[in-house]
Amino acid sequence: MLPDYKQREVTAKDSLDVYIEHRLLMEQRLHQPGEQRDPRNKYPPELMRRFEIYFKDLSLNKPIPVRDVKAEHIGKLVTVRGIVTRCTEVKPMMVVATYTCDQCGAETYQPVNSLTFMPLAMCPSEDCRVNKAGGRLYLQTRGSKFIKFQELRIQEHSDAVPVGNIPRSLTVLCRGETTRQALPGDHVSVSGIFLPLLRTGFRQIAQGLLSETFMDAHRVVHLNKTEVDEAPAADLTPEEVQQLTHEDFYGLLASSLAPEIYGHEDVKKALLLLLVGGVDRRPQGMKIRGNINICLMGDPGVAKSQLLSYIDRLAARSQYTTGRGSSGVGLTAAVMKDPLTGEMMLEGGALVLADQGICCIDEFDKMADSDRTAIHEVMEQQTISIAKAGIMTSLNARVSILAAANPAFGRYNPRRTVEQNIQLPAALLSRFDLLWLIQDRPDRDNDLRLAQHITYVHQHCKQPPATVQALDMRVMRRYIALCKKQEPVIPEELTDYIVDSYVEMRKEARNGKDMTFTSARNLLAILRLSTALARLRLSEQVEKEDVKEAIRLTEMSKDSLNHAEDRHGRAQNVMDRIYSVIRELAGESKTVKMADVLERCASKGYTPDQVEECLEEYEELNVWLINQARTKITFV
Amino acid sequence: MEGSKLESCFLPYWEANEVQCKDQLNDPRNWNMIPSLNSVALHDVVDQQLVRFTGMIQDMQNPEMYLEQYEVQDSITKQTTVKMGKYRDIPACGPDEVFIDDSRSNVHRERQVLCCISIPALNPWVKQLLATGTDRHTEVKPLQHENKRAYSDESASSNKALSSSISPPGTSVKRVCCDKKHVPRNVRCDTELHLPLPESQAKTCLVKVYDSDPALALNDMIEVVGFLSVDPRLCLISEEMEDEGAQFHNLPGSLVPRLHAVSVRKLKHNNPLLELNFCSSADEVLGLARLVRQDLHLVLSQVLLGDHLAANYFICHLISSVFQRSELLALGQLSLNISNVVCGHGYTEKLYTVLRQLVTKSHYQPLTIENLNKCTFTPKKDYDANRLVSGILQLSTQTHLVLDETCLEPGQLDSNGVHNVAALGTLISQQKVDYDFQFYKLEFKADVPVLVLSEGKSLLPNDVAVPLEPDSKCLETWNEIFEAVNHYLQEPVLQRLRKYLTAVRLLEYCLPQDLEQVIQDDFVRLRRETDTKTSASDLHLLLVLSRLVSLSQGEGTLSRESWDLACSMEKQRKQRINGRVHQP
Repeated sequence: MLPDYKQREVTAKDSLDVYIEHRLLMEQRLHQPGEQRDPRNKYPPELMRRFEIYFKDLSLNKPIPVRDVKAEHIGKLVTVRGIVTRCTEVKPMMVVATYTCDQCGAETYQPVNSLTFMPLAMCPSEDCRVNKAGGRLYLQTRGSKFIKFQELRIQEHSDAVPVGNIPRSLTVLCRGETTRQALPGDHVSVSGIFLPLLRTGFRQIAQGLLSETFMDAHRVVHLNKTEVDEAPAADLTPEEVQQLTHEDFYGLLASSLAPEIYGHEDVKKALLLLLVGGVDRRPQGMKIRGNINICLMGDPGVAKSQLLSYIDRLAARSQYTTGRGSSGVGLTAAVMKDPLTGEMMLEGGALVLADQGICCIDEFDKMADSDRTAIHEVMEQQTISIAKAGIMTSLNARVSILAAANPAFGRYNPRRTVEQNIQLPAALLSRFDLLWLIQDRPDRDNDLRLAQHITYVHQHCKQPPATVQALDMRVMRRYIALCKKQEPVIPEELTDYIVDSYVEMRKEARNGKDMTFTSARNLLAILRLSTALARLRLSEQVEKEDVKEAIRLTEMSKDSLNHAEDRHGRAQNVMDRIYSVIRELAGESKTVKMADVLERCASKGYTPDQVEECLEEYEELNVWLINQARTKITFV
Repeated sequence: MEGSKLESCFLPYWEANEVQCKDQLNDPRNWNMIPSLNSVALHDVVDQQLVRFTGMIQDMQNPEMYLEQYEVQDSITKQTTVKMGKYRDIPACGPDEVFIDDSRSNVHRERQVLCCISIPALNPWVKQLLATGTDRHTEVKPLQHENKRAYSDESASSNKALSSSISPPGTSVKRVCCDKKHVPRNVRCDTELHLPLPESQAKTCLVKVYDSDPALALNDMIEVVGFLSVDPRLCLISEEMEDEGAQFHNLPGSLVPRLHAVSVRKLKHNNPLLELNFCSSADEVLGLARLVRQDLHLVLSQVLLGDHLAANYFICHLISSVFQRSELLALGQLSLNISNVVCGHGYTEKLYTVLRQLVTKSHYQPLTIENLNKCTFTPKKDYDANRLVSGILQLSTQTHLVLDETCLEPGQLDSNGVHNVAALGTLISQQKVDYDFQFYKLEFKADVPVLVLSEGKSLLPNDVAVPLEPDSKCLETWNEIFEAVNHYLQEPVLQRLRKYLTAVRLLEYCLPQDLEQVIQDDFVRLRRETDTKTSASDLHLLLVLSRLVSLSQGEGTLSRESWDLACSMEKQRKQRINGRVHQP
C-alpha cells in the first residue's frame, strides 16, 4: 500500500482519487483467479465514477411555460424559462455511503438514490456473518462519495402569467455541475426531467394521495437581459411578417401606438421611429449616435404623459421617470456609501438603467440642474462620465430620450422662442431630433371625428373597426425587435438629394421668421430618421422615399412650433385669416351670404365674435359692404 | 325529499350516485340546503360532508399532483383493489391495506389549489341576512348532533363503505378540537396575513378545484360546493415538514378547512336580497326605479347637507362599475371627490354609516399620515412562506372604498407612504393595482368605486370633483339630520334601496344610434364655446355620466333627457368649480 518513491512532483489528487486508486489496488490484490467473490463487496459504479452525464434538450424543442408543465410531463425532459426566486446554499449530498465494520474492518457500500436514506447498522460481510460477531457499521465520511446539491425555485415570467392569475413556480433540484449557475432574480432556462418526489417511510403513508413534484436539472443556463428580450422575436411567424408588410404598414404600425389616444398621426409616426431607432455610425473612432431623441411639448392635458407611459410599456427596455425624480440617484448616476460596509459604490440612475432602451422623462423642464448638465453628454455622446469621490469612470447610456415638457407660462406662447417657452437652453433643445408641440385646437371636422370615435367606444365597447385594426402589443414588440436587426446604409446617389434638401432648409430658415433653428444637427436627424424608416421596411438600403418622409416629419415638427402663431397671434393675424377665408369663399362672385361665412369660419375654429370683429374692421376699410339685415357681404 | 340528502351528503354516497347528485345541485333550492361554512361553526360539520363556502379568491397556489386512482393491497388476503382518490386528501386505506406505490393502475392528475377568504369588507347587514338565511341549518344542527349517527346511518344504508372509511363523526370532532393544542402559536396571525382588512369573523379556506377552469381569476367572488376535509391526520404531516413554505398549506383543518370542490360558480354580485341571476325579480325592481331613486336622492341630499347636485353625483357613483378596458383606459368608473367637507368632527364617519347601510361591501379608510406610512395597501408575495400577503387594496369588485382625507394632517410621508399614495392614484385613475412580486410587478384589474372626502382639493386624482355647497340651515343641524335619516332608513325602505342599487348596476345598457349625432354635435359645440377647454376625457366622462344617469332611472337605453341631464349636471359642476377658484 505504500507509495513508490517518486523522482518528480506528483500531480495533485483529491482524496476521492486516492480512494479509488486504493480500492482498485485492493481488489486486484484480493482477487485471485477462480475465486468466488462476494458481489456485495464489488464497488458500486457511482463510487468509482469521476464524470457526470447531463442531457441537453433538442434545439428544436421550444421552452414551455412553467404553467404548462403538467402531469403528462412526468418522466420527460422539458425546458422551461423563468426567474429564480429562491435558491438554497450548495450542500454536499451523499451518493454512496461507505461503512466500515468495527469487528472485521470490511467496507460496505450503500448507494443513495433519494433525498433520504436509512443507514445500515449490521455488518453483512462474510466474516461477521459466519462468526456471528455482530459487527457494527460506522459511516465513513471520507470514504463516501458526495455530490454538490442545490435547490432552486423558479417562477414564470410576468408576461407568461394570464390575466388575473398568480405566477406559478417550480422546484428545481440541481446536482454536481448544474449547481451555482443562478442567483435569485436571474432569468434562467432550465432543461430537466419532471419527476414526482418520492418520500419514504412514514411520510409516504401520510402524504398518501399527494405527490410533490420537482425538476431534476440537467442544464441551467443563465440568460442575460438581452436574451430574455430577444427570445420572443424568433416567434414572429412568416405569416405575421406578411401581414405586417402590406400596403400602409407604416401608418398601421403608427396608429397601433396608443390606439386610445385619438389623432396625432405624425407624432405617433415619430414615436414609432424612436422605438426602432436609427443606425449607429463610427467613422474613424468618432461616434455618431443612431438613437432618436424626441421632445413633446404642449399645453396641459393633451395626453403627453399617456403617450409616454404607453411607449414605456411597449418598449422592451425602458425607464419612466419624471424630471423631478425623487431618489437621490436622479437621472444619471450617483456615488453612494454602502450603509453596511462603508464602501463607496456607484448607483446608476434612470439613464444608465435604460441603456440600449428608451428613457421616458416626464416634466423634462423641471429637471434638477446637476442632471441637466449631465444630460448634454448623454444625448450626444451616449455616455455618462462620473468623477466623484475618487471614482472616475464612464458609463454607457445608449438611450433614446423621449421627453415631455410643459410650457413655462402654462400655455405655449408662440411669440416667444422655444427656449423661452420651455426654459431650457438651446444647446439642450438642439439635441432633440424632433421637437413637437402638441396643441389642442378646435376644428369642427377633427372634433366631430373625435366625438364619433369616443361615442363608438362607449356604444360598442370596443375600438371602432373603421380605423385600422390596431396591432397587438406583443406583435409590435416582436416586429420592432426584428427591425432593430437591420443595418441599412445610405447609398451614394442619394447624397446630392440630401445635401440639396438641407441647403434648402437652411435658406428657408434664414429668410423666414422661424422660431426654431436649423443646424447641422438637423441634417443628422434626417439621416437618423431615414435609416429608421428603412429599418422599419426591413430593407438594407435607404431610399429616396425614406428621406422625403424624414424631411416631411422634420418640417411637420417645425410647423407645429411655428403654426402655434395662428391662434394666439390674435389682433392682426386672426383678422387677416378670416378675411382670406371669406375671400376664398367668395371666389369669383362679388357677394357672399353671411350664413355661409359664419359656418365656414366656425368650422375653421373661429368664434362668432372674431368673425364679427373682422367684418366690422374691413367694412371700415371699405373692403366690403354689409347689407342692413346683415345677411349678405358685397365686395367693393 | 331529495334535497335533504344533499343537506347531509357524504363523499361515499356522492361517489355512488354522482350523476344524480350533480343533477340535484342544479336546483338552487337544493344548493341552498347545503350547510354553509360561512355561518356554520366548523365543529358542526363533519369530515367528508358536502358543504358550501362563499368567498373571494385571495391567492392561487401551485397545482397539486394527486392520484386519481390508486391501488391498495390487503396484506392478509393479498387482494388488490383500485380506489378513487378524487375529493380526498388521505387514502382510504383499511387497517390491513397497504398502499401500492408503483402500481400500473395509479393515475396522476392535477388539481388547482385556491386560497379563499370570506369576502372582505362585507357590511353588517349582509352578514346578518346571510346568517338568518341559513338559520334553518343552525336550527337543525343541535338536533343533528344527537341524531348524527342516525343521519349517517341513513346515508350509509345505501353505501356500506361509509362507516368503514370514515371514522364516526363524534370522534373526528373530538380530535379536531384537541389538535388546537398542537398548533404553533404564530399560526393565528399567519392566517390573518391573507386578509386585506382585519376582520374578526373572517374565514380562510383552501379550495381544491378539479376540472380546472381558467376563467377563475384572483379576487373573484365564488361560491363553492364541495367536500370538507378536516382530517386531523393532515396536521401530523405538517409537523413532519420542516419546510417553512409548506407550513401554511398544511395548517390543521380546524383553522384552515380544505374543500374539495364539486361545483364552483362565480358570483356577479353578493346581494342576498337578490337572486344570483335575478331575471324574475329584475322587472319588479326596475319598474320602481324612478321612485326608489327619488327616495335615495332625498336621503342623500339630506345627508349631503341639502346639496342636490352632489346627491345626483353620489347616486351615479354608487352604481358605477367598469364596463370596458383597454390599455390605459377603464371606462365606466366614476370616482368621486366630495371636497369642502368642513362641518367638523364626526361628519365623515356618519356619512359612511349611511353608505354602509346601502351597499353590500364597503370600507372606510381614514387617510392619516400614520395610516399611509404603516398600512400595506398593495399585496406582496412572500417567497419564504410562498404566499401572497394581502393588502388593503385587494378587494373584490364593487367594494366601495371611502377615503377620508379630512383627517390628514401635515407630516412626512416615508417611502412606503409615497408608494401607497401612488397605488391609490393608479387604482383611482386606471382601476388596477400593481401587486408586488419582488422580482417584478404584476398588474391586477380592480373595479372599486372610490369616494374621497376632503376639505380642499384632494391630493388623489378623481373623475369628478364636487365641492359641497351646504345649505346654511343644514350646516347647523347636521347632527339632527343624521338622526332623522337613520330613523327614516327602516327595513322596507332600506331593502328597496339595496335591491335597487345592485339591480340597476347590473343592467344591460346600450347607446342608441340616433343619439350619436346629438352627442357629437353637442361635443363640437361645447369645444367651441369653451375655447378648447373641453377635451376628449370630458366627452368620456359625459358619456359615462349619461350612462349612469339613465341606469339610475332604470332605463337600459340612453334617452335625450338623460343626456341633457348629464350635460347640465356637468355644466353646473364646472360653474361651481370655477366659481370657487375665483372667489378667493
